[in-house]
Amino acid sequence: MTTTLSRRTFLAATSAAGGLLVTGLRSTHALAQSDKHGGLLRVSVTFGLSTINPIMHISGAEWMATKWMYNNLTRLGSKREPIPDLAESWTASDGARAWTFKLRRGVKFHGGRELTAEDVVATFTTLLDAKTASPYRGEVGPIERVEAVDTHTVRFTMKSPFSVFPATVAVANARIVAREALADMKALASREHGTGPFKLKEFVPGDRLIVERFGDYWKKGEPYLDGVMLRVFPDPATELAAFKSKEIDLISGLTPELYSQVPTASGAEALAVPGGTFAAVTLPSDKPPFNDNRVREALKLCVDRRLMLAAIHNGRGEPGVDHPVSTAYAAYSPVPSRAPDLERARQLMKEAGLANGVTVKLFAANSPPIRERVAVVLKEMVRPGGFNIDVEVVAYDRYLAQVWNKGVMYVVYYATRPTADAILMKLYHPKEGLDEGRWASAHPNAIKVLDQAREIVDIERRRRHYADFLKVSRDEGPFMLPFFVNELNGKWGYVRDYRLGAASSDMILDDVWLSSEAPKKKG
Amino acid sequence: MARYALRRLASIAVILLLVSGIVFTAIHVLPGSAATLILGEYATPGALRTLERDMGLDRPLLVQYATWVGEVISGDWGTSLAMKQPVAAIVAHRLRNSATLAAAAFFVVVIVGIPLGTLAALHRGRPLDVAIVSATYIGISIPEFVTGLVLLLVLAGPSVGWFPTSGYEDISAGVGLWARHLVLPAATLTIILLAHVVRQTRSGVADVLAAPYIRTARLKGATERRVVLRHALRNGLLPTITVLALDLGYLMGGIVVVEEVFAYPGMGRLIIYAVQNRDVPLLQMCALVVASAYVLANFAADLVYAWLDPRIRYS
Amino acid sequence: MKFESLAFLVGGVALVLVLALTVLAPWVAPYVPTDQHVLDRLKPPSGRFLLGTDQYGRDLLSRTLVGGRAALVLGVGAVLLGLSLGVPIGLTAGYFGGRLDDVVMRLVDAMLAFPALLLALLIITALGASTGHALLAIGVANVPGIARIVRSVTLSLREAEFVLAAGARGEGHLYVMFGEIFPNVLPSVVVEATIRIGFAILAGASLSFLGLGVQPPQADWGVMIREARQYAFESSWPMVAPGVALGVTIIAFNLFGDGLRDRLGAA
Repeated sequence: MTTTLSRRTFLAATSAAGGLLVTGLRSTHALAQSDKHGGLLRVSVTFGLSTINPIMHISGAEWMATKWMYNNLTRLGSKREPIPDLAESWTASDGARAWTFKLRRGVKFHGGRELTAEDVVATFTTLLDAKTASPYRGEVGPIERVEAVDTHTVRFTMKSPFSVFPATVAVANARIVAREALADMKALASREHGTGPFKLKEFVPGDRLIVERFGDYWKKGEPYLDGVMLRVFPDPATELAAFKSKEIDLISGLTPELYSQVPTASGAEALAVPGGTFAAVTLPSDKPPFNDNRVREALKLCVDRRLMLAAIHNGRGEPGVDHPVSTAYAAYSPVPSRAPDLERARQLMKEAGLANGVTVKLFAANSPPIRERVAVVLKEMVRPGGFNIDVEVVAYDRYLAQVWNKGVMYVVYYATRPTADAILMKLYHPKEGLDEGRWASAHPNAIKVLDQAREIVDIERRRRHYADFLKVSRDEGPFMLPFFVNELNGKWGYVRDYRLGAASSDMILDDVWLSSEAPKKKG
Repeated sequence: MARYALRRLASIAVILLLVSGIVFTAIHVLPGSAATLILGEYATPGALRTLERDMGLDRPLLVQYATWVGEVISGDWGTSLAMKQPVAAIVAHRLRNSATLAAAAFFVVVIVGIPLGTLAALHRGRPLDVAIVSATYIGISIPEFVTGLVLLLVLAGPSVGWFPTSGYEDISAGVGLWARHLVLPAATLTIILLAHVVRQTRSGVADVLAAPYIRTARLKGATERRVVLRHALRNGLLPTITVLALDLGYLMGGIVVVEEVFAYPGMGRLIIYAVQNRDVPLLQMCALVVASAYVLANFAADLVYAWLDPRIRYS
Repeated sequence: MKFESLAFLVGGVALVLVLALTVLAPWVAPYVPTDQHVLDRLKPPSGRFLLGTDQYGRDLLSRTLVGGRAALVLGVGAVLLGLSLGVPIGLTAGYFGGRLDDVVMRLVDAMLAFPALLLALLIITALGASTGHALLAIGVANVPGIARIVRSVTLSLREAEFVLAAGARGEGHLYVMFGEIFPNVLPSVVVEATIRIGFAILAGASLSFLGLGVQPPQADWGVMIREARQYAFESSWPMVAPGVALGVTIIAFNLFGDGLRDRLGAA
């Protein structure tokens, strides 16, 4: 990016007067530019792709697809800090009770019309409307009102101070949609009306999605790619084989087993970035045996997190300390871990009156596979501590209907969120989230910490504030969270300027390009 | 004969209606609805209710079913609840894929299986027969997913890489590519079907060859070829036809395991997807298509039976 | 025919071996099948682990031995279920004939037309994926086929002399069906059942492979292959061991069943 810019400036600065020379130089410049232009990038995932309605979609592959076809007000940078996307700038007022965004000018929708504040207002209004039944209605912050101040200024009035709003609006379900398209939610499932670098060309649900370059993208000169094809390969081994034979250029969501296979193909690179995705076990704290913190602690002390990570994810991740804020989050602060201690665990169980052990049922949905792996390994690890775990693997559809959020012991799985606020609220808060551990009513002070953190605008202060909560979570919390998994991708060397972030579904392809070694077929 | 055909078609219609009724009832007995799956772990009771109302899932069951039947009769198969696209288009696409795979396997099986089975019957008890029969035992006893996985690992794995491991490529990408992607899944299916057909043909033809009228034909001086082709095969093939018909039904819906191993987008996996997502319109059409394929194949088999054996008369 | 006898013998011996190993598995297995030796995961065969280890470091030999239990319980149980419903239905339809036969067989045909996969899927989704429910699904799917066979044999026996004699003696229908006809149907039923057990094991393994049958962490050949797939590129042993076990078991049942058919001279 910087190279091109300086080239342009250089050429402009050194071009002599005279149209011919300028044209000549410009065509040289164009030639240099076209080194990067062209090519079809073929990306693979292992499941999903049912809908491309950005207000309704809930899975990684779909988030990826809409990332290419739409923009948000902001996007997240390398430190998960909000950086401008459709919004050039933003300011907080009234103690973070109101946020004003100034929109970029000259942004075109794929249909040709220019983006205005009305589109932003319409998008958020639809997102927040109960009749839309958007899954993310409660995930974009306590918005009271959204209004257009002028054609390119939007003001959000919050119900209560909400300091992390600029990062929150980077979330996948807050993509800005052309207002006339919002009337027909059903059509949006297979048609797009965005401002993103790519337009929809073809969409076969569950199988593939093809997008092509949008020539009028507001980032002049980008995207470089002619198009992108996203394909679903339900079988990871098949996916890897397709990658090795160069039918796929970039594997998103590589399994840890196949991660080590990628570099065996010369020219291929395996990428790993610490993320915030995790699997954890709920310890329902409103009923026996886990209503006694000694029992919760005992279970946590039985778990060797590094060993579990080695067994389940080939070691590709970071051990966790029973709270969901990994190094990938801006508000992260380190919390000391505790080594496994079976002696202490047994002691605690005795104190809790469970010297003879206890039998508990642990549910694990069969998708993604990491859930049942955690359950199976946990079962063996906690046995010496006196826990007899009865693992029940259930189909995902059944899990949703009968297990999830029903206050039983089960394996949760969450992908990286834009902010620590988002994941903490989701897991612990009884009103803003699910309180999946049924823990909030007995720990109102801890929940108050979360409420207060939202109001703190200074990131350092907020970090310190969360640090207290994280310690409480480690010591008394209702989740056994053993580790965070790395985001794993595999790509060929000819895919350039691709950056893997802490959330691989947040795939930015604006400035990615294919070098001349890329295979010339259509794919 | 015509009256028989009409009666059969009528009973086929009844069967299909029964199938659709059972499917409809069953899917509403299952916990959760299409809305549950769409909202996933972001569901709230209010959102669930809203979505279900949107999709018409809160109407009385009988009303939903009757509406669906009415729409189908007028040619409208509805919209998939999970994919939000017309059901007919989705099913047609997957059906074409399954049919292609089935046809490829079927083709090889008929061309290779019937002669092999006949050969085995003609050389009954001798080494060639023993070899063929042993091979068929292995063919029918090894589960398809084991065969498929072995083929995948050996022929398509990173070391050998003769064939691609993704089981499907559209024909628009080139006939050669399309064919290459079809080889391994078709081979997996062929191995099992071949075993079935060879065994049936062998026993059918062997039984017939032992019959008195064959001896008569031989004594009358008919050439071996005439004996085999004209007499033995005609009757010996009857059990084979039955097996082929049953296999067609199996092929249309039961090869899900092969589809799973090779990530092949066929009817089997579509059915699983539809059940998992409580996608009623999609599941209904899938069930009816597969059931129709089965009963029609059986019907065709009975007609061929009658044509081959003049002694059989349907009234 | 000499080959048939040899096949019968081989099948019988293999069957006895498989059954013996499965029954004695807990005592023969060198390790507890659920014990995880995480630091030794995905190792090839060695002195310590004769068939290698799986993704959690569990001994493959022990798991393969124990894995046969679920397979056999599923296979035998499903066929028994199919018999318990299919035999009475077939006997009744074949014996009484006429309208009853028509109606019953129409229903049986309708059941056959119902896609087996869908049937299994609906049953299992409604009740939950487990060994028991997979058994139920496969058992139910076997009923029409068994009913048909029993019916056709019954039909051919209906006019037999001993049957007519029993009727003339004044014996009731139930006695004639179960006391006279059934013993003669039995050979066909036994042959059919033996072969169907092989296929039921295959179906059970397929369901477990799809995630619809036996569930982890229970050891079962289908489940083991399903899990092994994800690690196939690191080690193929977790797939090979149960795959071979499955193949051998099903072949044994088929060989034995076919041999039985030839011996008993049944249809």
